[in-house]
This record gives sequence, C-alpha cells and structure tokens, in this order.
Amino acid sequence: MKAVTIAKIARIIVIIAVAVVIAIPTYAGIESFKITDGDFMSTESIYDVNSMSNADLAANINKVTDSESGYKVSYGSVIGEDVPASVTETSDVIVNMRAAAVAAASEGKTIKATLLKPDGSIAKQDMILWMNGFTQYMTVGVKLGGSLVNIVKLSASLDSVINGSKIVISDVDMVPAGDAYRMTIPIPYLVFAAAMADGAHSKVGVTIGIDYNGFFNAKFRMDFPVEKIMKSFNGGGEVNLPTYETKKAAEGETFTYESKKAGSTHDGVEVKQEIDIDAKGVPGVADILAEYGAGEISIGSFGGEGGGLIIEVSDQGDIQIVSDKEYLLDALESSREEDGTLIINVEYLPEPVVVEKDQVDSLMEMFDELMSNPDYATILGGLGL
Amino acid sequence: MSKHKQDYDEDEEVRIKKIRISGFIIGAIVGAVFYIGIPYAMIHYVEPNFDSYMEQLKVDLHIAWDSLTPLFERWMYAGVPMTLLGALTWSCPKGSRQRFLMSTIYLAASIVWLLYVLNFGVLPDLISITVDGNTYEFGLVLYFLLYLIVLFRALKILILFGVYKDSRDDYLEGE
Repeated sequence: MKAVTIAKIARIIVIIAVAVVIAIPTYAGIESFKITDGDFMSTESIYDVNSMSNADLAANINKVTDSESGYKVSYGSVIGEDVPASVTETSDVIVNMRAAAVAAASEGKTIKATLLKPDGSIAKQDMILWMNGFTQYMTVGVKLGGSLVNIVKLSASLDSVINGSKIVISDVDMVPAGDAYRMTIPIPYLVFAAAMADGAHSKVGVTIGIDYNGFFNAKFRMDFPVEKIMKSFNGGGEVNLPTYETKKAAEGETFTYESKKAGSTHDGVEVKQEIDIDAKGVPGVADILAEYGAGEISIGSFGGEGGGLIIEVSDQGDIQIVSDKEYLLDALESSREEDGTLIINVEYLPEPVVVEKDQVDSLMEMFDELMSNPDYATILGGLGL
Repeated sequence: MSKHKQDYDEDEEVRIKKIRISGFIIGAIVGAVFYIGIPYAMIHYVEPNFDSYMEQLKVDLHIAWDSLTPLFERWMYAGVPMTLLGALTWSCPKGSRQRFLMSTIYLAASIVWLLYVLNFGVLPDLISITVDGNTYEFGLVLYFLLYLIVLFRALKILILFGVYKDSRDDYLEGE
C-alpha cells in the first residue's frame, strides 16, 4: 500500500473519530431540540383569560386541582381566595382572575396566578395571560436533549427594525425549567406602532443564541414582516397596513411623529392638541393601525355606540387624539351596567372585557388622569404600554 | 558525502530547474482562480446582479451582502500571497525535498489564510437571507470547532509526507 494511501486513511480515521464524538451529541441535541409548548405566535397558559372561555379556564384549573377542595389561588399580591371543589361551581374565581388581569394590565404589569395545594406548596404557577388589545405574550418552550447535550444558553429577543434602526421590544433569556427552557416575551402591541407608522417594511424577529458546549456559539435570528404577525394575531384575516413612507426622523432609536392637524374637527369634536410623540422606548399604535390603517381609530368603545379613546392617524403618519376627556368619561359612565360593572368592547378581543364594580372606579380615575394629560406617550404608558 | 548521493542531489537540482516554469504557471493559474477569481466574481458580478438573477428566476430571495463582502475581500486579498506560494510549491517536482518543504509552508500558510478569512472564528453576522418576506440571519462564533478545523487541515501533513515518500524514488530515479 502506498504511503499516501495510508496517510489519507489515517487522516480520515482521525477526522471521522473526532466528528463522531461531536456528531453524536449534536444529533441527539438536534433530535431533542423541540418546541415543547406554544409557538412563536401563540400563548399558552392555564390562565389565558383572554382567549379562553370561562368554562375552559375553569376546566384548566380543575385539572390542576383535580377538583379537590382546599386549594387556594392567589393572583400575585392582589387577590387571594379559596378554590372551591370545582371552580365551575362558582364563577368568582374566574371573574376575579379576569379582574385581576385587567387591573394588572391597566397598571402596566403582568401577574402570575398561583395555585397552592392544601399543604401550601405550589401546585401550579403561571402567568395570567391577558391581551388587553395592546399586549400579547409569546411563550416558547424548548426541550433539550440528554446528558450528552450541553447547550448552555438560549436567549431570545424581539425587535422591530425600522428603516434600518432597531427598537428592542423585549429581550428575554430563556430560563431552565427542568430539562426544558421556557420564556415568555411580552409583546406590547403598540410597539408595532412605530413599525406600522413606518409602512410595511418593519419586521419583528426572534433571536436564539446557542452556545454549544464550548465548540461554537451560533446565533439565529428570524424576522417576520409585521403584517404576518398581525395577521396571525388577527386569525389570518386581512390586515390593512399603511403603505406610505413615514415622516419620522430617526435619531438612533428615537423617533418623532408630528401632528399638524390641531384644530381640525372629527364628528363635531375639535382636535384639542397637537401631539409630538417621542417614541423612544414607548410603543405606538400598531395594533390599531393594523386594524384600520390610516384614519380614525377607536381604542375601545363602551357600550354599544361609539365612545372610547379615538385616535386619528393620518395617511402621513400623524397621530392625534380625537376624543376629549369629557367625551370619553361620558362614554365610560354611560356604559356601566345596572349592577355597576363596566363592559368594554375592545376591538381586538373576542369577548367584551367585563370590569367589576369595585374595579370600575379605579379605571375611571385612570382614564380621567390619562385624558387630563395631553401627552400621548404618557397615555400609552398609563395604559400599561 | 558519497558519490552516489552527490549525483542524486545534482540531478535533483537539474530536474527542479527543468519543470519550474510549467509548474509555476499551472500553480499560479489554479491559485489565481481559487484565491482571487472566485471572490472577485462574487464581489463584482454575483453580488451586484444577484437580485436581478432572482427576479428573472421569479424567486423571492435576497441576500444581505454586508457581512459576506468583507469575507470575500479577506479571501481575495490574502489569496494573493497564497497564489504565489501555491505557484512556487507547484514549481517543485513531487518527491523533491523542496516540494515537501514548500508544501508544508503552503499548508501552514493556508491554515493562517483560512483563519483570517473566517475572521479567526468570529462571524457574528455572517449571512442574512430574506425569503418570501421573512428574514433569516445566521451568525457564528467558533471556539473549539475552530481548533478542530485547524487540526483537520494540519493533518494533511500526513498526506504531504505520503506523497513525498511515494514519489521520492521515482523522483530520484528520474521517473
């Protein structure tokens, strides 16, 4: 046998040996790298008060409690109460959970619900998912492989890229949960505002970084057009996007929108203020734009007829508040039910939001305060955005 | 030094002189195509026309060349000395000590070239591809894998030695 042949064989043997040592755990890692729950554009929680019906929500809780009494549910530090043998026996738990979610959302917070066993240990803790028309939560779970796999880090970020500049919406590290990693990224709908106002060129993406056992560090980023995101939120329906080029001036990650139509009227209501929005770190009105495109936009209506916070977005990207304080508060007040509850029809929710009587006053105060402040960014912040 | 050995050395010198030009030219052409021609074509022909190619093919595929262009530039610039080294290596006949020495130097240089082209393993924004509106970006930072690549490449010294060993007698006997 020729020396060169022996050399080639020896080289191949070494390469194969090293490759096998690496490939086996790599293959195992790939095989086991599976999305375990949810997907990039859906939510999963036993307490998904947004998309679940009362019955579904009750069924989920009952499943955890196995319909045994003695359990206690707490919603962060807001509400605590005993869970009856079956939560379907009473709707209080569900109603209160929804109310807690509303309150948390209005304060810009997310809360977790915890089911405690009779012995005080945690039976199930999960985030109360609440899409208030502005915020969606994206839960991603990844299950990792066996002992040979040593993926040491997974992280994800959600960005909106606007005219080449990037706004970081959420930046979340996945945390280990047993042999899996999970993360929940809050997606403020209104963050998309800047993207939407910029036309149809903006994208939302997910970044996953993998450090594979010291061999290499790889980063994958997937960007999806905002229209696709909004369509998925919108059940695949058509999304009317503005197609204009924005007038915003980009300075780093700061974007400014200028309203120039102060003094105009809308259905007899005079536009009270000219608004400049410094959108740095402040979400915009993308969800609204996705629904309506440029033009009149109602964040929510109260009762059956109109009302609510109405914003007008011009086809040039200018944003103005159309409804004034009195208009909004009157609408709120007139929308109260006889039992004192308030029903809010938010355009993007499958069911009206029912605000319990004891929550209505604080909500009214919040709107009162918000509408007293002409700064749109502050209003968004006040809405928990 | 024995008379026999001295004859071999003198013959070796003669043969090297005989084939130097043709081997040099062939080595230069091969090196120029790989080290200069390919990256040059990528930078000056493929990159500027890629989108129009895709349009003709009616494929909604776009590549961001921001990170790839520097890679091709490193490939090309560092390829100039590699081309020269390759030509010099090819100018030496198989089985000659000069060929083995030059091949070893060329191998070592090619490892350095590879490391340089790969930016020593730091390629955080390597490629960005947009397909049907969705953009996929891939970045890579090589740690231990980089050493493995170097190791696999360095193992070629075994082949060089095998070639030298197999060709030595033919070379000394004048083929």
